[in-house]
Amino acid sequence: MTTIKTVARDRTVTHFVSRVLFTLVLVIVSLFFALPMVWLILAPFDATPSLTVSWPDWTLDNFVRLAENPYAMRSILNSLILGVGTMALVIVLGALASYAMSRISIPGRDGILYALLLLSSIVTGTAAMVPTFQLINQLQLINTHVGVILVLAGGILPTVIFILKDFMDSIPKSYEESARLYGAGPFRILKDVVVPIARPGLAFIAIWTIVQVWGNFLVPFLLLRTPDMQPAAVLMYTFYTESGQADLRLISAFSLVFSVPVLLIYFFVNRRYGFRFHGGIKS
Amino acid sequence: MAAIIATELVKEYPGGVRGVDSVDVEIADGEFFALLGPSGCGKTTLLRSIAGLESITSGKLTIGEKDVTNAEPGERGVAMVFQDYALFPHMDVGDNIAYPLRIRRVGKTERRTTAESVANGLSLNGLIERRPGQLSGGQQQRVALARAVATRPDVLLLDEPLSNLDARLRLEARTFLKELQRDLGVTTVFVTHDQAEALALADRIAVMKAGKLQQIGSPREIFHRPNNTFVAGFIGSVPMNLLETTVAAGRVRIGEADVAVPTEAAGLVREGQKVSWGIRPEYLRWSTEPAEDGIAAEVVVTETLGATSLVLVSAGEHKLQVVVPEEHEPATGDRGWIVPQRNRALLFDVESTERIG
Amino acid sequence: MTEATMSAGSVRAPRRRRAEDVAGLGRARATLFAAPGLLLIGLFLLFPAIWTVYLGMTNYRLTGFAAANPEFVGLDNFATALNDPRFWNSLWLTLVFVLVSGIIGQTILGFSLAWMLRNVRPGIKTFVETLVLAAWVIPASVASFLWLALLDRRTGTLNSLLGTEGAAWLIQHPMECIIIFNIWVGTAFSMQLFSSAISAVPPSQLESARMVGANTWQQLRDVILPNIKGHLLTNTLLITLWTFNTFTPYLLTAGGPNGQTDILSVYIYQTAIPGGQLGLGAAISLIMLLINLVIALMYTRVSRGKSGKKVRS
Repeated sequence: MTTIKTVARDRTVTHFVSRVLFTLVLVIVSLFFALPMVWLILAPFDATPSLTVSWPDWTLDNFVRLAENPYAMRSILNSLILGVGTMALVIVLGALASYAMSRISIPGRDGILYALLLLSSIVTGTAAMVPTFQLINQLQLINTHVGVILVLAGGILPTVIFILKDFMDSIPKSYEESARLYGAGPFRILKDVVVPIARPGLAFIAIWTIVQVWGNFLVPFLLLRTPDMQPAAVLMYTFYTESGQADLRLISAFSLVFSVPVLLIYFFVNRRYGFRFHGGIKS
Repeated sequence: MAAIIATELVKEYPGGVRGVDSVDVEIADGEFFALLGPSGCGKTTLLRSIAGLESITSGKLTIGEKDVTNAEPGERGVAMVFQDYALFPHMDVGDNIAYPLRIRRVGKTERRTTAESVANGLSLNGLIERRPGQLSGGQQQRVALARAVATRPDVLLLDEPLSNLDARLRLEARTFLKELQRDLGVTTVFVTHDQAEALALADRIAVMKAGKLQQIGSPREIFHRPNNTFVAGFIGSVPMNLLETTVAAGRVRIGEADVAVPTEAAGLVREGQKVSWGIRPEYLRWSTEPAEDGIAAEVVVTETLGATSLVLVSAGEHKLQVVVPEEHEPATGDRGWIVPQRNRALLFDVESTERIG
Repeated sequence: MTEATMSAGSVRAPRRRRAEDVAGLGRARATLFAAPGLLLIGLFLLFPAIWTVYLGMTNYRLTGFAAANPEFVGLDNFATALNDPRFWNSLWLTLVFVLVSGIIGQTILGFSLAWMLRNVRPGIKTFVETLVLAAWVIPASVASFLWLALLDRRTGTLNSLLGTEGAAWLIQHPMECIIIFNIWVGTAFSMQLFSSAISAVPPSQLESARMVGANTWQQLRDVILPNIKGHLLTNTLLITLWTFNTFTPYLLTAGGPNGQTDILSVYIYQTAIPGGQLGLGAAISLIMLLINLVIALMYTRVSRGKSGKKVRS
C-alpha cells in the first residue's frame, strides 16, 4: 500500500512540474509569434508612434494621413488592379482549360497535369527572375501592369487548373447531358450549366489568387520601375528604406490597411472551408 | 489472476451526462465476464474505466488487492484488445507481440523467444516476420490477443472482439476464444452488443442500459428469469412475447383464454394490476387440438427458420410468436391452440417493468 | 473517333461526327478551350525556364553595349560563377539558411506546436494557432518591417525589453536574424500539416501503447512518428523548396552587411539587376532551377509512392 502511495505522490510532483513547463513553453512560443505583431495593432492608432511598442496616444489621424497620401492610395489601387486583373485572367483561362481537360480524355492528360504542377514548383519567381525580366523587357511590357499580370497569371495557372480540374471532375455529367439534349452547344453549356455549379470552387480560386497577388513582392518589384505603377507591397518597402526619416505615422497605418484585407479573407475562408494548402505559392 | 470489484462506479462527462451510473459489480478471478447492452449503454465506458483509459469520477475500483481507481493504465496489470486490434503497421508480428515486453525493458532475445512461443500457442506459426497488413482478419485478432497475453496480465479486456470478423469466421473465433480463456484462466471482461455471443461465451453477463446495470447473472439465469422487460426483450435470438393484460381473480386474460398466474408471482399480485405476461416463443407449442391452459389462436404469418418455423398468431387482441418444428408447420389462416410450457411464463409489472416473483 | 474530312476553304461547317463527351465539346474544341491557358503557361513559365539556358551562355547586360548586342559566350558565365568566391559563399549561406530555418527550425517548431496543442482546451488552441497563422498570412513587406521595428538598434522593442540598448542585431547577427524571421513566417504550414497527420493516427494504437505502460516519449517514438513518416518527408521537401526560393530576407538585410546574408535568391537579384549582368545572373539561375528540379522530382516520387501504398491497404 505504501509503495503505491509513494509512487502516486512522486507522479503528482513530476506531473505538476511538467504541466508548468508545458504552459511556460506555450507562453514563450505565443509571445514569440505575437510580439512583432503587437506593433501592427497599436502603432497605427498612436499619434506619436515609435518603433518600440508602447501604449498609444489614441488617434485616428494616421489613417487620415494615409488617405491624403497620393502615393500610398495609388499603390493600394495598383494592388487591386493587379489582384483583380490576375484573378480574372486566371479564372477565365483556368475554367476553360480545366473544363476541357476534365471532360475530354487526351492521352497523357494526367502526365501533362503533373508536369504543369511540377513546372510551377520549379520555375518560381525567384529562380526565373532573370529570364522573366528579360522577356518582359523584350516585349516592351516593363513598367506595365499587363506585364506583371501575365507573369503572375502564368505562375498561378498550373495550380489553378489542377485544382479546378478535380473540381470539374466531381460535377455530375448528367447536367451537361440534359442541356445537350435540349440542343445547347458547349460554350452555352459551360456558361449556363457548369459555371453556376462550379461557382463555389471558382470563388475560392478567385479569392486565393487575389491573396497570392496582394502580397507578392518580387514580380512587381522586378518589373515595375515607377512609384505610380507599384502596388502597396513594393511601395511599403520603398517607404521604409527611403533614406531619411521614415514617417512612422504613415507606415503604421499603411501596414495595417495593407494587411487587414488578407488577414480577414484568410480567417474567413478558414472558418468556412478549413485551411487548405495547395503546393502553396508564397514568395 | 485477480478479481475485479467495482463499487458505486460513476463516470460523468462535462455537462452532467453519466456514461456509467453508479455500477456495483464483482467479477471473480478467472471468470469470463460479458458486458452486454445496446449502443450507448455504457458497456464500453465501463470497460475503458477498468482499463484506465477513462478517468473514474467517483466510486472505487480494485483489481486483486490493489485499489486502482486512480492508477495509470500501465500500472493495473490489465491488458486490452481493441475492436480494430490496433496492431502497429510498421512493426512485424513478432515485434508487435513483444512490444509490451520491450516497454518493460525485457532483453531482446528473451522478448523474441516469448513472442514466438506465445504466437505458436495461438496458431500463428510462421507468421512472425509478416506485417499486420499482410494478415487476415482472424490472424490479426490472434496477434492482438498474443500481444495482450504476452505479459501474463491479471485481467484481459476485449472490446467487441468478434465484431470486425465476417459472420462465418465469427463462430469459429467464438469457440477459439472460449477455449483460450479456459486454458489461460485469466479474468476476462468483454464487451458486446450481440446477445447470442454473450450467452455462448460468458460465465456471467451484466446487462446494461443507459449507464445502469439491469441484471447480472449466468446466461441461463438471464435467459430464463430476466429481471425486467428490457432484459427480457433484449436477450434471446427471437424476442420474448410480452403481452399487456390485467390480473383478475388470480388469472390473466390472454386472447380469449384465462391463463393462470405463474406460481412465483401468485401471492404478489393485486387484483386489477396491469401486468405484462411474458413467455419465449421457444416455450410455446402449437396444437391443432384443444388443450388445458391452451389459448385459441389463428395463424397470421409463418417464417421458415430452417429446421423450425417462426409462426405469428393472433389471439383476440394479442399477437404471439411461436417456434414450431418444421413437421408441424401450420398454414396461414389455420386455427388452433397455443400451449405454454409449464413454469416458463413470467409476469412483469407494466409501470415498473420489473419482474413479479 | 475518326477524323472527318474538311473540304479545303470551307467555313467551319457544322460537325457531322458526334463528339463523344458529355458537352459535345469534341477534341478540337476542347483543345481550343485549353489552348489560351496552356499558351500563357508556355510563354511565361516554360519559355523563361528554357531560355535561361540560352541566356546563361550570353553576356547580356542591362545597359551599355552588350544590352543591344549580346554575344554568345558559351560556358564563360558558368566558369566565372564557379570561380567567384561570392558564389560559393552564397551557396553555403543558402545551405545553412535552408537547413536551420527550414528543415530544422520550422519542422521542429511546427511539430512541437501540433503535438502540444492536440489536447489543449479549444480556446487556447485556436488562440495560438491564430497567432502562428497570422504570421504566415501577413504580407512579406509588412512582416519584414515589423521585424525591422522589433530589431531596431535604437528604438526596437526587443532592445527595450531586454535592456540591451544599442545592440545592432541585424548587423551583428544577420544570419540568425533572417533564420529566426523565416521560422516566424513559415511555421504555420508545418504546424497545420503535422496537426492533421497526428490526428489521423488511430487512437487505438496510442491507447494500446498506453495500456502496456508506454510513456509519452515512447508513444511518440513507437506510434506517432512511424505513422507520420510520409508526412514528415513531404513536409521537409516542400519546406526545402520554399525556403530555398524565398526572396523575403532581401527586405530585411538586402544580402548584407557585407554579403553575410547573401543567399542565392538575393545574390541572383543583385548580380542581374543592380549589377546589370543578366547573362551571369541567368547562369546562376539555371543552377537554381536545376536544384529546384531535383527537389520537386523527389517530392513527386514520394507523394506518388504514398498514394500507391494507400491503395494496397
